[in-house]
Amino acid sequence: MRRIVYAFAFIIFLSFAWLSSVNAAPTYPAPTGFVVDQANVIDDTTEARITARLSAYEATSTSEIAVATVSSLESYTIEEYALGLFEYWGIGKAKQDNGVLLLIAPNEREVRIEVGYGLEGALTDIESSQIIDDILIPAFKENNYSKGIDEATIAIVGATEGEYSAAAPTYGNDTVGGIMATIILLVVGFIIWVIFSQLFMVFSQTKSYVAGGVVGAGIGSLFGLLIGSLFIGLVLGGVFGAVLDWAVSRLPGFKKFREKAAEAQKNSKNRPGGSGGPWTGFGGSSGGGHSGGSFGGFGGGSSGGGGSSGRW
Amino acid sequence: MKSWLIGGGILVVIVMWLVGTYNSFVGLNEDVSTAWAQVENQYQRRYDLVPNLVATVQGVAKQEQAVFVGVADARAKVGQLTVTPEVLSNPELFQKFQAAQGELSSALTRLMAVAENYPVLKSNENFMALQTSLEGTENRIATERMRYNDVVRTYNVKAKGIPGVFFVSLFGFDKERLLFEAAEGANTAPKVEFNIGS
Repeated sequence: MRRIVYAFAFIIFLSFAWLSSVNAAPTYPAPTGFVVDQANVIDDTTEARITARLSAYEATSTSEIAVATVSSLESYTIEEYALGLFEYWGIGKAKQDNGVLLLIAPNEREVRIEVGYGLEGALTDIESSQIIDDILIPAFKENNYSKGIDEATIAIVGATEGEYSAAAPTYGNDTVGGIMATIILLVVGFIIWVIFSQLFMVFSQTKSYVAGGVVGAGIGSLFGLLIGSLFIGLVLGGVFGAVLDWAVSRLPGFKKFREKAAEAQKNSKNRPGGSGGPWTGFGGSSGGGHSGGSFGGFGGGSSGGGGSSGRW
Repeated sequence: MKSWLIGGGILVVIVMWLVGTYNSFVGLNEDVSTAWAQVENQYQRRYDLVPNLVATVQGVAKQEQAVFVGVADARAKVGQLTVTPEVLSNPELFQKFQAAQGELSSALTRLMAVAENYPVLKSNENFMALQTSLEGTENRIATERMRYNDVVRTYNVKAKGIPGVFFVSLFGFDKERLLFEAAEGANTAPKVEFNIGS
């Protein structure tokens, strides 16, 4: 029996040996705030003012405008670099794609305004190009990066204003969605608790750990499918299930549980419809997203290459 | 009891795995179609932009007939393309699609290069707006092509890998989807007006 399990595990393992494609990408600066001045061309007072402006704008409109100055484009075109950085930072909210990236490469003397999908209508390529030609380039030619970037962010805010607002979607998503999610979690949690307590009753009566491992692997695969990796779910679930089965079957700490389960099983032969065991189940939550300092990270928006570039 | 559990468990895992793999192929197929629709959208956007652009340049540079004819021919060819989903798995049709779009790209490059010779155009606001739109559109085409290629690469790796290759023939999914060639580079088309290094 054990040999079959091993062979099965081996086949699964083989079938999941896949290629990983590694794309060469520039080393992007970390998204530490709305303004990331890697090239150090913006003076501190202006940087603080721009940050305050963009952060306040994000609070009222949900639109995320990011400013990045980079010391090198690493021989990528500014379009490629801007798109890559936009995706890496995820500027804009995920569903609205309402982000704008103002990217300045002082050493290459190139600038680009990259506009997320959701703002292409508000901030057209032509408007971006005008901001670059009329505001940014004249200031950059005088080496006054602070002034150009400061005014450009005002212009970008002006162009995108009114396109999105914080109030309506937040209410829908956070409150109603939150209540629904809580209800669903409670129901699912209850079902899982019932199933698990039944399973543990059975497992505590078997002396081995194989059955728990197999069932664990099955349940793990289910979750694995949800998170996108069947293999990880299968292995983790299998190991976890086997360990738990071994624990409830053998460990002295579960002796009372075993006795109770044996009695319950005897009773259930007389009357079907079992009762829940003493197992309380377990749950967990996982959070994602960037963190660091007071800046909460960008919302995961994406861009389709809209916007405009310029050089000076 | 024990062997029943083990057998059932293994069966459940196998069925889950089959269903999961099948569904992931369905999902990937959808991803490819979505990415392709985006590519097409941007090509359509360029297609729609051409008449305006030609008319603006023509107003100033009437004598450059050869260039206008070139653009008109290339655009007509693109217009005749029938774009059905089967283009994505038929190398011949895909090649034809790429060739026609590539021809329009180079015709537009020539048009913009010619326009550079007319200072009147360069200060014409309408022309500048169209030029920006064209640049933006070419960049969007490049972006969506890149995204499409990424999705197709994912599909192909899965369809050619070990469990996938059986699935593909078993359920009749495409054995591989076609990639855009990087060399054609719609990305570089409108940039003739930039002088590198300043």
